[in-house]
Order: sequence, then C-alpha cells, then structure tokens
Amino acid sequence: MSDTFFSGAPHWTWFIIPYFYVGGLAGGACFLAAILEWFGKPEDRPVVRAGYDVAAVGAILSGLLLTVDLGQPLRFWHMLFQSEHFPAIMFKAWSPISFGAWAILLFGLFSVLSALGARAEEGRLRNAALRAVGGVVRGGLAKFVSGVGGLLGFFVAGYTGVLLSVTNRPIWADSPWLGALRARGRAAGARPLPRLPRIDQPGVARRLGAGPARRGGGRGDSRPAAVAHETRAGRQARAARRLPAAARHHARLRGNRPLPTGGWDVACSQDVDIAGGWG
Amino acid sequence: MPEAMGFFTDTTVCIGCKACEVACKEWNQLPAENGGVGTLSGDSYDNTRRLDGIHWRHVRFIEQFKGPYDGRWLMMSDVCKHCVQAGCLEVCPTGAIIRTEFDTVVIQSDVCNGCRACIAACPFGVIDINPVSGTAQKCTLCYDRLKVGLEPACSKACPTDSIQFGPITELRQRAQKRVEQLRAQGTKADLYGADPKGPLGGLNSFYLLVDKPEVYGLPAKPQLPTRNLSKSAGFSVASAAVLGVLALVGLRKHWMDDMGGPGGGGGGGGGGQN
Repeated sequence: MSDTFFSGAPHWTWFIIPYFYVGGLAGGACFLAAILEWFGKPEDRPVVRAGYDVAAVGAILSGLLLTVDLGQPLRFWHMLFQSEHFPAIMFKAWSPISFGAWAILLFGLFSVLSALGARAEEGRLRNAALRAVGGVVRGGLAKFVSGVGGLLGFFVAGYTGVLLSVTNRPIWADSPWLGALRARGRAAGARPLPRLPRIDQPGVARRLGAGPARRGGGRGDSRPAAVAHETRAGRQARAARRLPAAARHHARLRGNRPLPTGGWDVACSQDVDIAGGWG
Repeated sequence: MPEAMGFFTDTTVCIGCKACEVACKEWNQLPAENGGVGTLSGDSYDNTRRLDGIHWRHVRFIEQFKGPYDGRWLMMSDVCKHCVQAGCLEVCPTGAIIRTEFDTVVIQSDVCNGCRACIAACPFGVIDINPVSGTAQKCTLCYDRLKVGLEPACSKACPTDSIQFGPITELRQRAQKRVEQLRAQGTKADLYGADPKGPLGGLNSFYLLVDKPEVYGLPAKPQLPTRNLSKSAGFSVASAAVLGVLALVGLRKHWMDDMGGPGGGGGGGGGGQN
C-alpha cells in the first residue's frame, strides 16, 4: 500500500483550480511577451503589449484568488514577512508555497510595470504618476523589467506543479513530473508564438483589450486545417492545432478561428489538479 | 533546555473509553462537531472517525471480524506524531509551525493564515483546519501544561495508562520491555516510530502495535514531502530551458519568414513539435 494513502486532503479547490489556470496563463503570456520584447520585430509590439496586459491582470487576479482562499485572508502577508518581527522577511527556499508567494508578488510588480510601460508606449496613460512610471520603464528599462518578469512568469507557471509534488498526497507526491508538465502546459504558449498570425494592421492592439470576454465563443465553427492547405494560414493552423489551451487562448485573443484540440499535457495536468484537490 | 518529551501509546491496554478525547477537547476548548448534534459513522462504533482541526485525539477502532462470534477490536488513541523531522514544519510558509524546547511540534494559531500546505504535507493526515479559528490546528502536546510542569490532559486522563507521557529516552526503554513481555506471552507486538534511525528520525509520539501499521491507518514508511523537491524542480527547470530554446528556434524562423528565404516557411511546425 502506498505510503501516501494516509494523508489528508488540503481542500484546495474553488479558488485554487482557477488560480492554477489564471496564474499559468499570466506567467506564460509574460514569458512569451518577454521573448518578443528581446528578440521580436517592431510589428510584434502589439502582441508584446497584449502579453503584458494579460500578465498584469492575471497576476493581480492570482494574488486575489490565493488570498481569498486562505483561512485567514487578512494574514496573507504572514507568508512574506515574519508577523512577530515585521520587517524581517519570511522566506523558505525549500518550501514551494513560500517561494511561490514571493514569486507571485514580484511577478505582479514586474508585469504591472511592463504593462504601464506598454500603455506609455501607446500614450494612453492619463494619470501623471502612472505616466511617469510608464515613461521610466519605456526609457531604457523595458528589456530588463520584461526579462525579469518573463522569468518570474515562467516560475509562476511551473512552481505549482512542484508544490503539489512536495506533499504527501497520492498522485501528486508520486510523480516528480508535475512541475515540468505544468510549466509545459501553461507556458507552452511561448512555443508556437511566432507561428501564430502576426498583427500587421494598425488598430488591432486596441481590439485586443476586449479579447478575454470573447474567449468562450465559437467552438462549433472550427474546420479541419486541411481546407487551408499550402497557404501560410494553413501552416499556422496546422501548427496551432498542436497547441495547448493557453495558446488557443492567445489565438482567440487575436480574433483567430478557435482551434478544436487541446494539448495532452494541459488536459492531463488539469485532471491531476482536480483529482488530488478533491481527494 | 528540557529533555525531549513525548507519548508512548500501548494499544494493547486501550479500552476505547475516549477519556483522552474528552480531556483534550476540554483542556484545549475545542468546539463540538456539527453544532453538538451527534452523527454516527454508521459502519463502526468509532464515531469520531478522524483527526482534524477540532479532534486532536482520536481513539481509532479497528474492527476485525470474521463472523459474528469470531473477531477482535484493536483500539489505538491516535494523535500528532511530533515527528523529529516534521513535514508540516518544513513546508509551512508563515513560520507558524515551530519546534519547541520539548522537541514537540506546535502550530501557533495567531501566526497561521490557513494556507493548508501543512495538511497535504503531513504523512499521517493529522492536521486540518479548525473552522472556528480558520487556521490549521493539531495536538500541541499540551505545550501550555508542559510549560508549568503538568503532563498533557490526555495522558493524565487515561485510566489504563495506554497513553504514557515522559522523556522519550525513558519511554523507549519502557516500551521495549513491554514488547518483550508481550512476545514472551506469544502475542505479536512491534513498536512503531520508536527508532531514532527509522523514518522521519523517529516519532516523539510512538506506538506499540499488534498488527501491521496500515491496519491502524499508519503508513509503513512515512516520508518527508521535500523528498520530491529537487527532482521535481529540476525537471521543471529543464523543461523551461527546452521551451526557451524552442521559442528562440521558432523566432529564428519568424525572422527568416520575413526575409522570404525558402528555409523559413518550409519548416512548418518544426518549432512547435517536440
């Protein structure tokens, strides 16, 4: 009999499972935006800016979901500072949840800075203070902020798998692959990014803002990619069919036709979350 | 510095009276379950059923019956094991879980924020949330009583001395003698968690069992949650590196597409497949 059969369920369910998705998506978006920030072309800028938006909103949402899930939400800061010796830092490198708390805080900071920089780039910040911050980020710090944010984003996307492994629960603690699986599942959006349609038309970036609301729509109108053979769109569609949910989400953000299939690893890691969480 | 203190629970003399459960609830002011309305488990005389945030002691009933007239009850008063290497203490991100001067493990309820990492980390399923405080709680080995020289409420109340409290070294000697006595009588008897070289560095609450540990709901080889840390983190980092490289390979094609070179388009899904 497995020695993990005697542990108790931590009841991580209603807020944590959406957090796994939102956090992973935000992390993956920041990671791919950072790659395009560093190595992309000028016409990639709208994608980069959209990536920072998804990252910033997702990071804030992640923090909120995690805080609301606590038994004592107002004590969330006990994970960051020693509550009895306030400014002293509370950090355990060997505890994924402690490491993760810091990573999400810093990821939030860097992704919001990047998003402000992106807004400043578009000249859409009305508040003077925010405009100043955005301007500072734009004025030479963009690559640094984005790079750190991208790495933190990747960490946020992957650490939850390690966290689940570092328990004594069945399935979770029996596989060392969860972290890798999660990182792949959630951040694999970065992998096909260059292959997705580029945004060449002006004005697309503005439409992207309304993207998440359209996420759920239109599964039914997807068609086999073979229809579009031998065209650039066909190649993109074939490549994109291999993408996991995060990437499909990005595809939809760009107003593409929704793609019918999801990645095996996403489905798998999601099932594992649920199996263990409910157990 | 006081000695390491703990419990030795001799399950052979437990009569299932639950005096320890009651004493624990009284001393620690733990609330009743379900607003005080009794619920029956329906499949056992054990109606407490488990350890959790409001049950820090639980007399486990193991009903081994082959027929109506042939069987036995095993009874074991279960509690936090106060592991020498404690998984809950390891993962706690707030520092709420501490090791005391008595070598016991205590959750400070005013520091805990209810993240529940310790619940999943405990190999024995001891910890859970106390719905009144919203924090994780478990046996403190009556830290407040130990501080003033009293023994814990449960062992004080135990009428058969099934729960014995004392310095760990002394308890181990006593337990060994009892095992020898039982074996001499022809009874199968083994100690669980008494070996400081055993799993988790030994348990400061250890047991004398007459059947396999699993029968009592105890893992044969409890392990620390961090056993998975380096491997899992390593795989994740490796996966990150692979993805990063693939993304860069994809970008190279992205640039080449733009130059209109034949290499760019022809690669199709190269970067996306792995």
